Amino acid sequence: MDFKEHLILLRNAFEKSNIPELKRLSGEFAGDAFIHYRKENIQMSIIAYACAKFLEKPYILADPAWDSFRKSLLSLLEKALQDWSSGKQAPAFAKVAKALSLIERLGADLGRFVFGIIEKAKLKAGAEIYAHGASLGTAAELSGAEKKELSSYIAATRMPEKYVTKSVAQRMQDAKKIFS
Amino acid sequence: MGKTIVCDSSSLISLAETCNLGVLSFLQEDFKADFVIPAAVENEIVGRPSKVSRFSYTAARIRHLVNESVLRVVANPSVASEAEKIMARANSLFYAENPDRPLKILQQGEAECLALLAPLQSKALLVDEKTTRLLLEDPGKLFSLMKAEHPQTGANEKAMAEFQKQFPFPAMRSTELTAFAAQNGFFGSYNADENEVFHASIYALRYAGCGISQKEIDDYQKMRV
Repeated sequence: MDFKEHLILLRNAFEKSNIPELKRLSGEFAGDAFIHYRKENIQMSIIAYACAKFLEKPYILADPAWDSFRKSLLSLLEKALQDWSSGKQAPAFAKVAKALSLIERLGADLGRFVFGIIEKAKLKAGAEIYAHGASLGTAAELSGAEKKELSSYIAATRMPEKYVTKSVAQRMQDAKKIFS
Repeated sequence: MGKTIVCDSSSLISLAETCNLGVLSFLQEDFKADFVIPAAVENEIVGRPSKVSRFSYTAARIRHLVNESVLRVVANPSVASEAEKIMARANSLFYAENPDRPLKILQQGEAECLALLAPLQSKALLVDEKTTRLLLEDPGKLFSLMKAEHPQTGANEKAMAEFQKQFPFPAMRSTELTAFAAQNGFFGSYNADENEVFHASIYALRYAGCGISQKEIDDYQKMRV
């Protein structure tokens, strides 16, 4: 899926306060980040996840800072879309980065919860990239998540169930040979 | 001559997070194991995290192992340049839709680990993360897992087989390392609780990041030390 389509989907889902769609997009953007190796897709994934979490919290929606945040975010996404449509890639990417900064700034008004969401969004994006085939190092590098935290986040999912290649008995035989 | 084992950061993180780093000195002493890390791994688990207070405890304990010569850092320009070549090859094995869109699967630390294996005549690669391990053990399985996530993924199967052939080294995880140490008395000081502590350590390693399935954990639970 191309970047323009991502922007449209993100803008529409946020505009309609469509929480399940924002969560779905968060995972899809992270997977695309691996395919295109583009940090802007990660930023979009974080934005989608953070917006979904904000929309779940009535106290955030009731905060005076929310309305202005919502308008600014929609405006930035719209401008990024216009830039992209007129062939201006770099300004479009810059607006996505600015949209992420907007979320971080909201943290200054709403406190620790927002920063926690951003860290969680990075972990979720990193786990998605790992599931797509990247190594732990690549997933951490691209998502911006800390390797140590990403590895324990992945471990708590069912992902490791898929990666079996040898039995424990075989592995222990190998270990004996290695140290013999 | 020592039994050289090249260590990826994923396993050292698991061992550190579960207070099992002692396994390394135990195996060094009793089995002449020579645990080696490349410069990129040192930077990942000691250099960078030591500057962040939240991660500095793990970093300080691993640095201590380097200072005590339990972990040996091998840093030279030829490793970095060989790692570049390995990354170029590994990161063109798989692609999205067509070979012009290669997928970047490995990064510097993992590639430097692979680069050290042959020159050091290593006995094994210690790695808890799945991609590097599957490249050594079963790249076809990695491909099928990637296809399940993104059906348009393609692979250069000839290059995949050649890559695997270039690294005929066994991969072991922190769980195997700990289990082997446990079988040889690592948890002996726990006396009657030795087995319980060993079994709990395997669970702990899983939740610290070791890529191990529930079935494998169950098999470890049946093992007596």
